[in-house]
Amino acid sequence: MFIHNFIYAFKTLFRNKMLIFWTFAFPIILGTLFNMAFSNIENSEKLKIINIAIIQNENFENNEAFKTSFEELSDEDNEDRLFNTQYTTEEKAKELLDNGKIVGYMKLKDDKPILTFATNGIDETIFKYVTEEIEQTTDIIKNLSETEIQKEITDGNYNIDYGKIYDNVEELIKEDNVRLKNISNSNLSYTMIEFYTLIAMTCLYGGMLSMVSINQTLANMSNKGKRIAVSPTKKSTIILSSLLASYIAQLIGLAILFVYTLLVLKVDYGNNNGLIILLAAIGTFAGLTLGTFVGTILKTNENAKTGILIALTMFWCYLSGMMGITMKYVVDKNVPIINQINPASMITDGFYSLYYYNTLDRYWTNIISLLIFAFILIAISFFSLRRQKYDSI
Amino acid sequence: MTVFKTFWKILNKNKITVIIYTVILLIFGASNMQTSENNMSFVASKPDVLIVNYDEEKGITKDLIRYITENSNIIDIEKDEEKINDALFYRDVNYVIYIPEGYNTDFMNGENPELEIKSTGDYQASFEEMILSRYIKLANIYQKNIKDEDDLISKINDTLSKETEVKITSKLDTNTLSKATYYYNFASYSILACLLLIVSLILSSFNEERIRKRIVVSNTNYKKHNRVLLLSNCCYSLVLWLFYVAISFILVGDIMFSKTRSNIYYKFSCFNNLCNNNSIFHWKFSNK
Repeated sequence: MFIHNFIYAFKTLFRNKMLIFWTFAFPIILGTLFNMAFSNIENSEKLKIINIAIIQNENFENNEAFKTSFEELSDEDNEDRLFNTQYTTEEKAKELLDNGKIVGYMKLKDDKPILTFATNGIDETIFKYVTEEIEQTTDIIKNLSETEIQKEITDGNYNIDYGKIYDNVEELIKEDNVRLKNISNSNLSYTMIEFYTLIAMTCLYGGMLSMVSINQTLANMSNKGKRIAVSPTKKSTIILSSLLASYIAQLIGLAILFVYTLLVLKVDYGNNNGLIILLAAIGTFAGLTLGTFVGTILKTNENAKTGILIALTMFWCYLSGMMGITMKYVVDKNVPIINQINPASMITDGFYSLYYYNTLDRYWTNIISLLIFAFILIAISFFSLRRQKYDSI
Repeated sequence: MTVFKTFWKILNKNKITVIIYTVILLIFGASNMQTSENNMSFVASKPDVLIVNYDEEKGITKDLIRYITENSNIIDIEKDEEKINDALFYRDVNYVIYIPEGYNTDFMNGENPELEIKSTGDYQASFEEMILSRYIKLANIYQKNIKDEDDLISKINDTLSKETEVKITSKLDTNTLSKATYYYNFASYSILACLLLIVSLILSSFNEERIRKRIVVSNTNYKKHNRVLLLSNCCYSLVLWLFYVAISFILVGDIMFSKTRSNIYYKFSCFNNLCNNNSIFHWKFSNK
């Protein structure tokens, strides 16, 4: 009887086109839209070459420090190229600035740089910063040369080789002596969170399948349920086989989404495939128990139950960052308890910890939390379903 | 004319939707537009930075922290590695600087100690790395010639204090411009909602079975009927757009009269949006 009901429950679920759209097709459509919206967002945040102009007057031509520095920073063969520089007249530079072709221009007057910008901004700040650095380097050369010359004089050496002193100081300045060690994780793509919330949403949307399955076995919900209630079959066999059918249908939907996001959208879930599958399976189980819970506890029609399930799922997904990536962080930072009891956040955080962290403590915490969530809901549903009898319906 | 008049009569019955969305726009828009004082001078951008100092806050360590603090926004996060990593991932901080124990002593001994950093790798992080590198490079150069710590710090600060003169050509106040941005950011939702709701409500009223049958048997040509409906929708879109642009003139003020590209873009992109949606809706409903 278990297998018989399992097969028919499975077939019934797959023939419900609306249900299959929301649990199978909708996440794929949403994922595609996410990909279209966010695929270039992080690249646009990288440092780009800044368009600037320099007024080519006599002062600039005679100032070696500024001339060589900007030539070097604008050199197309330079890996650390920062600027795309146009050497022009002041009128032309003003025109370029007004037309938004450059972020600003520099004019040297009495060896002092004067910068002109249209507005504030990070590009303008970098331009100002680099100009200051060149000016400061000139200052260091002057200071150190003076100190060296002073030393020579103090040592009684009046036959000073100025060229050598200048070369030594310049050599010292050219030394790359900044020692920074980058220890940040290379997996820093925050848009991945959107796709993790999508998986969480699909897991919880799967609850619709189990809810429909449960409704079909409940005497107060459908004619089929009335027929089942009067049949000489154990209720547990019917319910468990229906739930198993919906669980497998959910897993098929999730597997399709996983394959699509991995192969087409190139979503990075980290390298721990076994743990990724385990999290997806437990997340789906949590969705199944949620659907069962809503199906059994609420004494209302199927549309209202579906509405409540979708509203709950969307609210949890919102808190886990689906409608704004930083939302999950804001909640985690300010009211962590909310996301500790939010199944969408547990699933999202589980994928996030696999992607971002090298340790698994956080992952297992999420797995245990999801299991606790699922068992609480299933226990409530079990006590609600058992010994349910109707004298008249 | 009958169809045109009916369109506006149905719109009149649904005017409460337009009012609600406009009120929401005014509430949220106005609360977002509370910006700081007028700003016509250059303000440097500051990346969000976290400094984790394991050294004693004295000498060069203290001065480095002071310099970073002056040139960045220091973010206060619990010094727990997991919390720091989360903050970095969600871009609460762009850059984290770890100052190791004994940094000051090692630096003064000429050992050029290494600093560990964490970076988001974006614009802000690259800029913060430039700020940090500048200080370290400068300090290293002077350290080779100056052995007294106080003299060294004073020399570093003397050099770093040299600032470049900056002129801003724009006569527009950037804060007011950002007000306009906030307004149009939110107005796009309100305009879309008003348009989608009203146009769909009105067209579905015309599409009701009984009404449709009545229209079919009337002597009005269906092409003319659809043309008038399209015209009515366009008129409504135009009026709605003018209404929201008029509100922006009242809220934001003179700046909306300026000919900046962004301004013209705001106004016309909204209108373009309206036209597109209108045609899509009309096509969808009138083809049924």
